[in-house]
Amino acid sequence: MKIRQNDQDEELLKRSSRGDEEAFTNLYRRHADVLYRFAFRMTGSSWGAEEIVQDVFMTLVREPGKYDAERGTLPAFLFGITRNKIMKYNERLPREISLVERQEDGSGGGLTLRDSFTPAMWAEQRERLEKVRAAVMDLPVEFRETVVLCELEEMSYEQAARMLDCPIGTIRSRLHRGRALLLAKLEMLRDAPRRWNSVAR
Amino acid sequence: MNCEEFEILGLDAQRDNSIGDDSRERALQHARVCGRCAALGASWAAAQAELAALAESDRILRVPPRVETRVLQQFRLKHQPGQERKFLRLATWALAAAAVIVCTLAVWDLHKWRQGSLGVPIANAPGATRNTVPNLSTSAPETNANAVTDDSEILIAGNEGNDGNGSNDFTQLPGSSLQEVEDGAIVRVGMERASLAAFGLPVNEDEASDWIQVDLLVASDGSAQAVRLPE
Repeated sequence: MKIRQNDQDEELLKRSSRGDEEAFTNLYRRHADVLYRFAFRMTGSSWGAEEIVQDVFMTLVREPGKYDAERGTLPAFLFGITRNKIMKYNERLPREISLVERQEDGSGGGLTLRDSFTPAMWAEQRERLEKVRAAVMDLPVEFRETVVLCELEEMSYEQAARMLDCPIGTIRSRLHRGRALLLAKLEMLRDAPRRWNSVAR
Repeated sequence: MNCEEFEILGLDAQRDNSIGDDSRERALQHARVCGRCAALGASWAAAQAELAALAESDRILRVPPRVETRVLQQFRLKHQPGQERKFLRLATWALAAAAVIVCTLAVWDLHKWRQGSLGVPIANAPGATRNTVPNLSTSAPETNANAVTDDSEILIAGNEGNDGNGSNDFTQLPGSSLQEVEDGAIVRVGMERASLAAFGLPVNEDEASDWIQVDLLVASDGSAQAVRLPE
């Protein structure tokens, strides 16, 4: 399935580089949302994520030849560009964590109010989620991107390793340390700090 | 499996496909016997639930449509110039071809116009009989005019092979006498082209109002015997 998807990506990219707009649009729609979420979780800014995704695809438009199928899949290539852009973005701007992101139509991002929720419950959960988001944002970049890919995007370790172009052992190691830091923060939020010296060392 | 290994491998043993089944089983066994690692596992399970809720809330995140618009604009900018260049190349060739055709037509028309403005009656056309003194054409203009059908041929440049004065190109006027011409003189006068009709010569109506100079061969009695259109 993955092989077929990659073949499709490559075919779409070939057609795009020949000027096929429909192929390029398909390619964009297949990958843009995942990259956007990743960029948003890594920068904490919807504007930043928007700029980054735009830059990534502009790069693909200008230099489609930069992608080498023998070196990896197209999603991994796009993730690589996205990571570079995120790094530059984070270096350029002071860290801003936008806790309340709004959609284009003015509605708030995040939770959708469900019938079973009271407004108080909804507000409480939303606040809780934003704190979790802030805890993730506080992780060092290399741990954060691993946590985002494995825990939030629910990628397998193999997929994350391909996306980050590193061995699985590195993913496991980063995830281990990232989890330790994250767990410590989340336990603080729960007012239930637990001694976990060995992990956080 | 000890506590340290559990922290590395055991927390997410169910999801980590890269570890073997035996390692997974040993991690579960360790959690059952180690209270500290069991608490760690429970804490991580709670954290995972929170992360899953965050992931779920973020699932609605989509790239704003304006990004797609901007990216597609850039795509068109990159790829359309090629098509435009092709179109421009074709248009240039078409324009060049049109210009050549227009120029050809203009030159041909100018040539035709010059023939018209400098032309003389067809009486001087090659093959017409000419007098030697003073080189008059014996055929009447009407006769010659009848021989042609095209306006452009009514007045032709009939000075080919002359000495520049057109001395051989006089056309005898109707009713003139050859004997009277021998003592005559050549008089250059200016007149409207329409006046040539008075000598019985055919006139192109389109150019009838043009002011031209003609040489008249005037006999000793003052009557015009022949006419020519100098260059």
